[in-house]
Amino acid sequence: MSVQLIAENLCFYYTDEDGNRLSGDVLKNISLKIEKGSFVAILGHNGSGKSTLARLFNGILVPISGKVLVNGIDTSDDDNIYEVRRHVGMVFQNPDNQIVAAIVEDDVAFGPENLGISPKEIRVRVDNALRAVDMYDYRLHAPSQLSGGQKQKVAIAGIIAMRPDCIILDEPTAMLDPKGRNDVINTIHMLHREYGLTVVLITHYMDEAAEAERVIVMDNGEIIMDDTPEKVFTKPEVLQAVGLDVPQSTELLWKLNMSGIPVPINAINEEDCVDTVINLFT
Amino acid sequence: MIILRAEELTYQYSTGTPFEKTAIDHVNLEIEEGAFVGVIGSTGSGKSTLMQHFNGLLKPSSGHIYLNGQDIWADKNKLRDVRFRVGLVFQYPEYQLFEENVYRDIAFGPSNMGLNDAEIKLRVYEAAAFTGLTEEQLFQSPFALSGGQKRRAAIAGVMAMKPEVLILDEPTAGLDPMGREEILAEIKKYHQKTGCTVMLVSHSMEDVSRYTDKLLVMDKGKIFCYADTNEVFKCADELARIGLAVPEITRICNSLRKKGIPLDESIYTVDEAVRQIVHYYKSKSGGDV
Amino acid sequence: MLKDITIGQYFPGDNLIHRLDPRFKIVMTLLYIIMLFMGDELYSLSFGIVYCIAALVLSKIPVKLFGKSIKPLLPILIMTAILDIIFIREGTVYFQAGFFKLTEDGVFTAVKMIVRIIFLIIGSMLLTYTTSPIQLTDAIERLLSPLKRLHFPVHSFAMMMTIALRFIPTLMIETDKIIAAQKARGAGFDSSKLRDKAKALVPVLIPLFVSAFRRAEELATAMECRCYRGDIGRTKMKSMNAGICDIVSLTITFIMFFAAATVAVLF
Repeated sequence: MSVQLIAENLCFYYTDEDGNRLSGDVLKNISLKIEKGSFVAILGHNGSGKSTLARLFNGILVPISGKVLVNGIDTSDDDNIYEVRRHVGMVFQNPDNQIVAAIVEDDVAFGPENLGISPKEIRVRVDNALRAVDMYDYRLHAPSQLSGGQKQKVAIAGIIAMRPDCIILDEPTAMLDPKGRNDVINTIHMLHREYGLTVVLITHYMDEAAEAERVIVMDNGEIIMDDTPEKVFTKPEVLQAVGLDVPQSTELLWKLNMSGIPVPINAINEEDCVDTVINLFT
Repeated sequence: MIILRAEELTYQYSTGTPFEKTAIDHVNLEIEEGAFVGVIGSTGSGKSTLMQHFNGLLKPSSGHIYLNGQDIWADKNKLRDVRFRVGLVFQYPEYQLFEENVYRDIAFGPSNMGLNDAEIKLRVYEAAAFTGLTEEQLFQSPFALSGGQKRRAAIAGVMAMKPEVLILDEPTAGLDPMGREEILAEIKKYHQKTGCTVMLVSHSMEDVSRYTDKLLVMDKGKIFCYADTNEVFKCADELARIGLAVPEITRICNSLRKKGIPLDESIYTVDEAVRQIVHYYKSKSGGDV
Repeated sequence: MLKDITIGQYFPGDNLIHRLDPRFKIVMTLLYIIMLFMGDELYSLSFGIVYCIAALVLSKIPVKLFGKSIKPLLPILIMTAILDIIFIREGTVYFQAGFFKLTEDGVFTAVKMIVRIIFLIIGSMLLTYTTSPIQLTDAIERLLSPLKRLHFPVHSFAMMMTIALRFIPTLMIETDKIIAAQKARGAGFDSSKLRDKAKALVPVLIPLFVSAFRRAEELATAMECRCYRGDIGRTKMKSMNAGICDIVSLTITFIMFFAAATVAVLF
């Protein structure tokens, strides 16, 4: 499997235009590899540095020291920046503030237009992207007529119409209602499955992270855990110490354990949890 | 005692056009004084619209709202007074901050009430204490605060009016788990200390279940049910049918019960589940744990 | 409520008027407006009216919509008409009471003025109702492109208009929300005193500006992420190709225009 994103000894803090330091260390010596085609969730509370990391991965920010490589291309090289962004698409938290055009299909066309693709090809890509996120029927709607979840799907279509091989989503569901959240998360999984997109999902919802292939937990600018969801979520004490939730299934097993009942903390979903508890009595 | 009462309340918008929609449909409801009520329902169920009726921001198309037995629309001149007595915190309330410092922003409501400076000061400090804002933060620009602190400053701005009923529309939307927990705990503390009626609108079953004693479930502009919180979670299947998920722990306990473990029908917190499972485990193993 | 405003809105459709090349549509609308204001007599005005009604019928946009949009402007129209009637004192006198004199010229001018303004509004609304905002800004960008040689930032100008059109509804909804939130804290928007009204605006305008700037910043980042770099190497999904329909329509417009001009000069 080839490598999509590499961070090498990444350090970052915010500076003003003259290079004077404006913040403490936001990222502290982070090294990380993300494989092509994988589904990675980055979990952390606000201010843990997770959003900053995302912005470094597509060159909106450049590292103070260390390196970020996207498909082997260094993001700090200004000449490569559009190549980097073509490979790594980004979806943000507020769906309203990333839609440029007043008609859905025109907005989806915005990215491909910037890439200088032929009008015919753009049309094909726009239609395909809208079908992929199940928003084709809304192609002539104004964004203000759509729900939050629908707007976020339009934003996702706008990215996939650029045919990136990686998509980074920075808390895409934080402002959505449960239905919109579900809808967007399902769409992301579908894109990963059907199109083999590399997905980096930044979130503070543990249930969204639990469905990823790999979970990276960040706190205070550092990576404190990097493992499969099963391994990460079965360490509730670590997660709670950094202000994160665990699934209620894990919490139940953990608290039973603490009450002196010898039950393994091995479940991160309902079914497994039920099985574990039943085993206790048989 | 009943503090808020809705009688045959109906609210329609775009009346007479093809876009006509009934957001609230003949709602009858009584809220007891001092209750901590969770309000839940999917988007478009009418829950936010109903809340905006309670403080007179929206006028019913038909029906009445009574605050302490008084029809709030009986005398239009007293409507502003109703807004001070029923405080409403909107979704993403930090977008309403505008003053040069947090103190003055929190004081905006109380000074609109025409209170004297000493009383205003007292109320600002009290509200700041409820929401965990420090003295230093009070004299910062609200725009210099972090997201969670801005949210608290905005909530404090409504608490400082000392409303008899405090309504919060999704006060934790967009916050991380720690921020959510802190704000909910502060609201709970406010409820306990002041004894005021609090209504908490939320999408999260987990959140409302842990903090409230009564639940109002809305669906398609109607009241689906209004009952004690533990009663509501007994009907997990009906809730699922209107698109509301009961907490994960309730679903786990329901599955366990179906497989023969004797648990109550209305478990909605992890701690209660642990207590009952431990109890059963001890009884089975002869109490040697 | 603010949301009810329909001016500048686009109604998707598929008919002759919708399909016309937006560049031609803009030129035709300009010619039409000149047509309306050319000449002093009803004869020349009637060309514009006939032209507008024909376009209206072809567009299949319900007349009711136009009525709704004109309604808020009625007070201004009536005011202008009254002023015309009071201050134009020439011509046959129909009725006189003290200073007030109702004359043929006064009534005539007032009627012409109202008809002109109403048709001006209908004509320009027809343009925005049948042309999507993006098409409109694209067309303006292309029509103005000769100005690029004079270093006028035509593309940035068009992009600014696109974004403005996109965010007008968003900011209107936001304004409604902020007003409601401040009302809930007892802000007085009901006072009739001008000073109080101005003061009441502060708690609305500051949050609105703060939010608009935040949106602008986030949007700029999102646009950069989508490889936006001005018009360098940029293509357009919807290309504009003038067809026979466009040329015929423009020709008809020109014929009407010159006919109206001739009539205006002759009479």
